[in-house]
Amino acid sequence: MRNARAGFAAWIATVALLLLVAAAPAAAQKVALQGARILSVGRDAIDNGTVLIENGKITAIGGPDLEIPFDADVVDVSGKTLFPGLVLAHTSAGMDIPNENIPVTPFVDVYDSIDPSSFFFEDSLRGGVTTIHVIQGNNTVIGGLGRVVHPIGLMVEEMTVKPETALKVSMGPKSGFDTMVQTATLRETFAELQDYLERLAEKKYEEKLEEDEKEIDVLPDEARKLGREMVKDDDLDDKHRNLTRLVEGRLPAFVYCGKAMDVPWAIQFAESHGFLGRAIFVLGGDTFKAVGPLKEAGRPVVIGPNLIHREKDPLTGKDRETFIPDVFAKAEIPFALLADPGARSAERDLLYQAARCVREGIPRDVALGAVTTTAASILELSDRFGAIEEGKDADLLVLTGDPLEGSTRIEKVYISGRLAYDLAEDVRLKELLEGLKPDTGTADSAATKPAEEGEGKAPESPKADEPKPENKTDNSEE
Amino acid sequence: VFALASLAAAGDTLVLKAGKVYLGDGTVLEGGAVVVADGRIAAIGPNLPIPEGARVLEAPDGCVTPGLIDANSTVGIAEPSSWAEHASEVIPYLHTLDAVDLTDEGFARVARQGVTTVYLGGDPASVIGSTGVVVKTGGGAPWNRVVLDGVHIKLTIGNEPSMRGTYNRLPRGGRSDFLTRRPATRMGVAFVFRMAMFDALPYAAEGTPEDPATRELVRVLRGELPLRVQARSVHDILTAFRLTREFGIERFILEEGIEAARCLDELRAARIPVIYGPIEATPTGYRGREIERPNLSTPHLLQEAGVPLALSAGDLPDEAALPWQGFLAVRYGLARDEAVKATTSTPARLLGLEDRIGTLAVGRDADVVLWSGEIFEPTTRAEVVVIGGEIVHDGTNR
Repeated sequence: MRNARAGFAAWIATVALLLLVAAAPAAAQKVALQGARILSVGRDAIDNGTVLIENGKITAIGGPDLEIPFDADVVDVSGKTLFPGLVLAHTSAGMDIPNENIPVTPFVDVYDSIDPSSFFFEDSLRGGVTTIHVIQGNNTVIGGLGRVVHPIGLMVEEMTVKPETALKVSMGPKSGFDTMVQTATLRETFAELQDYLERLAEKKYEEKLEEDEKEIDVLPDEARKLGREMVKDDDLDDKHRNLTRLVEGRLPAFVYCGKAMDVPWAIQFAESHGFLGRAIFVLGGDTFKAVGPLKEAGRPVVIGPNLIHREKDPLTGKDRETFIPDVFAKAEIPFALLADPGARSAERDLLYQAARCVREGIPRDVALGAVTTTAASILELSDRFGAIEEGKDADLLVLTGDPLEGSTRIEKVYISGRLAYDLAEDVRLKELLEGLKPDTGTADSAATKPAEEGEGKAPESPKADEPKPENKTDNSEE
Repeated sequence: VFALASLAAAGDTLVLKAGKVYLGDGTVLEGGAVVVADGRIAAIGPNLPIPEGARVLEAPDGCVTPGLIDANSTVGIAEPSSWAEHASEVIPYLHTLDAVDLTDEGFARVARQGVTTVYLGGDPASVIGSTGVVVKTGGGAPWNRVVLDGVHIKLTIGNEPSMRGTYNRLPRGGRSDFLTRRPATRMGVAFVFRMAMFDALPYAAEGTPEDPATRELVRVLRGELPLRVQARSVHDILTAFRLTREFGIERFILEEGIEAARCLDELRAARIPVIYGPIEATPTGYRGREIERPNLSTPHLLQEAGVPLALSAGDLPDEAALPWQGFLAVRYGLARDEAVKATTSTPARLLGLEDRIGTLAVGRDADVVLWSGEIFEPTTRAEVVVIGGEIVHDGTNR
């Protein structure tokens, strides 16, 4: 009897705990980050500012006199800088393999390939990247659906910000293909789609007639037109459905061009197949030479991780060096920058990539925009990410200084208003920086408050040099 | 005639001015100018009179430093993959210079990043590689850029001499004979080194051996030719100590030394300088095979332990050149002026060229860089690069 009663009590306690855990996210979570310098691209800096977060969204931004609700958790970030979480607009890191062997795979979804425990995600978080667009690599003809994720979570569902973001369409030849076979395969795929849809429409029209017990009243051509509206997404297999969404402008395309010669054709092809309006051009090689057509197309581009293009002048034998983002900045084409966690040099860190742009004379807002606002708008998510503004998701970085300064550390990362990364708790980084005393280095690390437990032992922030996932084979990185 | 000559000289005079001047030896001037004439540094100071007709290049928010020196580079080596001569594992009689294409554009690429001098040494696929050469990365005719040949010889310990090279990958059924036989383990590498040094031992005091390799190794025993040892993991570094002591070689220069932080005491006690780098959290290739625990703060720890430190980008691509290495070193704890030393005066001293390069002093080679901002900051670029008094890169008028 006693045992039973004890068991019952335990059961009650368990239920209560479960309820508590379940209820926690539902309750209004209010966090106030107080006293920081608030930086956001295209906005004036706010000194000694406060960001109020409610239910994962930014609800108010203001100076020291901003009213803070009595039930908010107040986090003192005085002396720090708040910056929006970085947005990586295109990567195939975090997947087991970036591309299939078969050339046309619009029926696959990176959902099945994202590995939440991939080191890439942990490393991204450490580097301040909070929004990541994972999509198949460029070594394909038509790739599958991409997905925007946060770098936290044990399951893809938990990580997901936006599923089915876009299809990859590659104009640069897939390995084993030449340009002619590549373009022929593309044409053939879309011609087959057209044919498939027409036949299906005709069938649908005939079925409708049969249902209505009517005789066939029009020629097949007319039947195909009339039946087109009767074809619903559910009638199509994954391959044809996704391609149909693409040509009907219901799905964006990330269009990879490996050479300048691919660009005009890519634009023409996208236009004639109805997806130019939502095309994002992923640029490799010497595609910056096609800046004219790209400007005319009026679509944004993504550049990197390689930012410098070199070629030998065929006449003089001299190296010609082009800093690629410079070309697009001058042409005022919106661009997002990419970084490659597997790179062995300056190309591995997103903020450093932005700093390189500033180094080469690109305006600071354009360079920082390329890893925040522009990247978010390329993902059609500017209403949620890329800026510290009321109504946006509370994806924030707590920095020790200006984002482009070499000594700046990423101390904390908030995703949807929750603390997702804390430098003081970064065990792996501690190991990589073994022996480093907290009082060495730069002035700002000395400025961190030594009072709180553990904080004095905080190692330097990573940014660039962290362990990385396995090298991938993606022809965008040549 | 004299008047004309001095007028012409004044026309060639160049003044680099900035808010900060790093002399390279650890001294930092708050504001100042460096006057360059006739290929050499003519004056340095805070309030110098500007010579009449001199060209003044200025960066008020920036700094002036000596040209950076990478003491372990591979720029411009013309061999397609390896410059290890497979006729033998011991090739100190060969000159790396003979494998270098001095007209290679790679030199200009690193020059634009502020690297004005590089040392090109032996390929680590050899046990004892070809002797190294010091080359300027620009200025004058390419064939006049060689500063010093036959500077150091290099012993490599680790996987590269035992695993790299065409002969180590025998085709299926291939025979292992005297043409193909190479050391296959670290033991074999050590044996090849010992065998070569034993041949040299009888001549340590006097005499000249017939064998060209032995002739060079005798110079190592006599302390005339410095020995570099490429060792990355801590156990390979300790092997380097053991092997050199067996032959009474007191000093050597440790190259790469990625895990050097794990044997700081040994390095300090033996006064072993380290040409450290590249700094990587996840080394790849042979480096990745050899390294268990990279420590990003190693440059800082070496410097703090009093180990002479030079930074190097090794064989990494241009985007990882010395400015990136310096950025990482500073980011992970090395003081900025120490990072400047580690890329200027220390490598110059290790190369035995401290009287010519690596510091800003009157009479030194005019290898000077004007940076747009603070050195080793991510947003800073090499604005003007001067080598031997000649402007090889000018980003001021873009």
